Amino acid sequence: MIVLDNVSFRYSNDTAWVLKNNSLRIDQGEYIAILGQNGAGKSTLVRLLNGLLRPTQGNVYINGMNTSNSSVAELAREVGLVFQNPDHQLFAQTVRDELQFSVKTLEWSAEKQNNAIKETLTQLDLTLFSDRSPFKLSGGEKRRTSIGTIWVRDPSILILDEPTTGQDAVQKRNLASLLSRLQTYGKTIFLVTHDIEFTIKHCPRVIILKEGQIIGDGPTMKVFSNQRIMSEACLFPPQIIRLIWKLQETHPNLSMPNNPQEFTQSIENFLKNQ
Amino acid sequence: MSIIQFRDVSFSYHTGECDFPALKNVNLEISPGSFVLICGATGCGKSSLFRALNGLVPHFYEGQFTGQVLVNGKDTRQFSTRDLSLEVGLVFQNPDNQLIAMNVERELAFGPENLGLSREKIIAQVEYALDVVNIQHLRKKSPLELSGGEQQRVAIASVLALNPPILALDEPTANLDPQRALDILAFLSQLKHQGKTILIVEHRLELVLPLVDKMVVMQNGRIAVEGSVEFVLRSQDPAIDALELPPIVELFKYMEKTYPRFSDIPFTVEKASEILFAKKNEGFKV
Ligand SMILES: Nc1ncnc2c1ncn2[C@@H]1O[C@H](COP(=O)(O)OP(=O)(O)OP(=O)(O)O)[C@@H](O)[C@H]1O
Ligand SMILES: Nc1ncnc2c1ncn2[C@@H]1O[C@H](COP(=O)(O)OP(=O)(O)OP(=O)(O)O)[C@@H](O)[C@H]1O
Ligand SMILES: [Mg+2]
Ligand SMILES: [Mg+2]
Repeated sequence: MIVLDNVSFRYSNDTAWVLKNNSLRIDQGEYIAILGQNGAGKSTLVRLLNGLLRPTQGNVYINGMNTSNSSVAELAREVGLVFQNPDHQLFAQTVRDELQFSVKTLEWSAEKQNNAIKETLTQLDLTLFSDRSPFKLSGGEKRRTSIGTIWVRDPSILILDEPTTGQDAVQKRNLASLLSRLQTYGKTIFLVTHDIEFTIKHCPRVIILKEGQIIGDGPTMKVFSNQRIMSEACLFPPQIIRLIWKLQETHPNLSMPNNPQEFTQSIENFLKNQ
Repeated sequence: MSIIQFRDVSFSYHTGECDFPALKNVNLEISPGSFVLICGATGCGKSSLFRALNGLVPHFYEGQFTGQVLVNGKDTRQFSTRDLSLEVGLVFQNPDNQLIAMNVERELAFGPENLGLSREKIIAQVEYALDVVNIQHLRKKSPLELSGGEQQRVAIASVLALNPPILALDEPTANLDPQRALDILAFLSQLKHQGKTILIVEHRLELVLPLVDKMVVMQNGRIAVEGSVEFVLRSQDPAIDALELPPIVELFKYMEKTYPRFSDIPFTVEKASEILFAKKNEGFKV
């Protein structure tokens, strides 16, 4: 479980507050996304969760541990954070070494380590590149490698900062199904993203951050179809919601689908009903 | 006349263990003043194609290059990347690799200074770049203290400060929030209307499709499909499967397949609603 208790943060005493009085609770096994404008404080917020940063005011608890009194190493066993920029995560000679380094600090048997590495390479479609330098990969391949370095450690809370950036549709579907599977194993999945279409398809809950404050938190369809929250946060609602709104202007009886899967059906109903 | 020509271009990176073909027999013509979207699966060769535009391929990346790339008539093999940077401004996929200076202002001045422009000219170009991507307030900040999206805008500005006739942007909105992404894309469209040629790699099709003149889909180093947006969206080529089509496009592709009288593929909410209203008024029966 992740708990933020009235958390505020600034990078130094003479700079502006980046996060202001945020409280939040995320249960184990939730699949959640956080969205907001550039500079809203999303990456800062997730760095508070793995102890890279400590709150200036308030407390952050990870599975009961107060991050202000815990070491980064302790927290790293619970929380895995994949950085927004893969170059900040990668340093080894080969993709395989990258994963090897990542599991080395865990008290795992050699066999367990090797199995985890092999499985991660397969699941993230990296086997072909395992002996190549991470810096000689395409952008999307590199990002998958950075996800792999955290994935391989099998943390109970997995935070991914912009994981879909630069991924094609096939890789996104692949990532989506891997994340859903992890969630069924009881992992908490926390995405930082600008990818509203991915969020609406896959994440049951969203948080909207604006200038360091949480201004929306709830079921995804509900938050995304809240015009006030969306416009305050300068976000465009997903295309399907905007299309339904447009049709509702003249056909108020048309109802918003409960989830994106029902969208086509809603349109067919719209055409059918007089 | 084309401003960019690829003539049977192939390129393989030397990766140590083996050669890795990234471009295979690429032929491409780009007309001046057009806005061209390059897309395709990860690893299909989009960034490599861009590197071939300003000579990074083959001058900086080791590998085997065959064929010919002409940029504004210049054969990239015969000109240095510095010369080519006057023709093509390349915004890299990862802004970090591009940002090196102490602060944003210095970062933007770096390119024009290297070209030996006059001081007045440098200042004017820097101010122009700060204004257009809306980062005046960041001018004194170090690139390392910026959020991901802020860095991205600085990277775009640093290329705009050189004011080249061709701009090639490799996922320039990757870290931008939707409003800022749209602002940048709309701004690029404006530059196009001022006569610049724009090439872009962009995954957010819902934002970019309404703006582009031509779409090029790559697969495994080759050009699989190219043409107008409508043409490409209708194509049956398997390379299209790698594209994340906007939900509205998906909807209308489904409708077209299911109902004989649906034949349009709109890609904006406005156009889609117009078509649906029209169909409904015609008394469309599902
Ligand atoms: N290391 C740092 N030192 C000082 N200020 C910082 C640092 N990192 C970020 N900031 C500032 O804190 C604010 C929030 O940044 P943060 O990276 O959390 O935003 P974000 O919501 O992740 O944005 P983006 O969508 O652009 O990645 C921004 O104004 C940014 O300039
Ligand atoms: N520096 C390099 N050395 C060796 N191989 C490379 C290098 N850069 C890219 N490649 C390989 O060349 C192929 C094309 O890569 P490229 O970066 O052009 O793809 P891309 O279409 O831009 O992909 P993405 O969307 O993931 O950025 C890929 O298979 C990649 O692994
Ligand atoms: Mg961020
Ligand atoms: Mg690329």
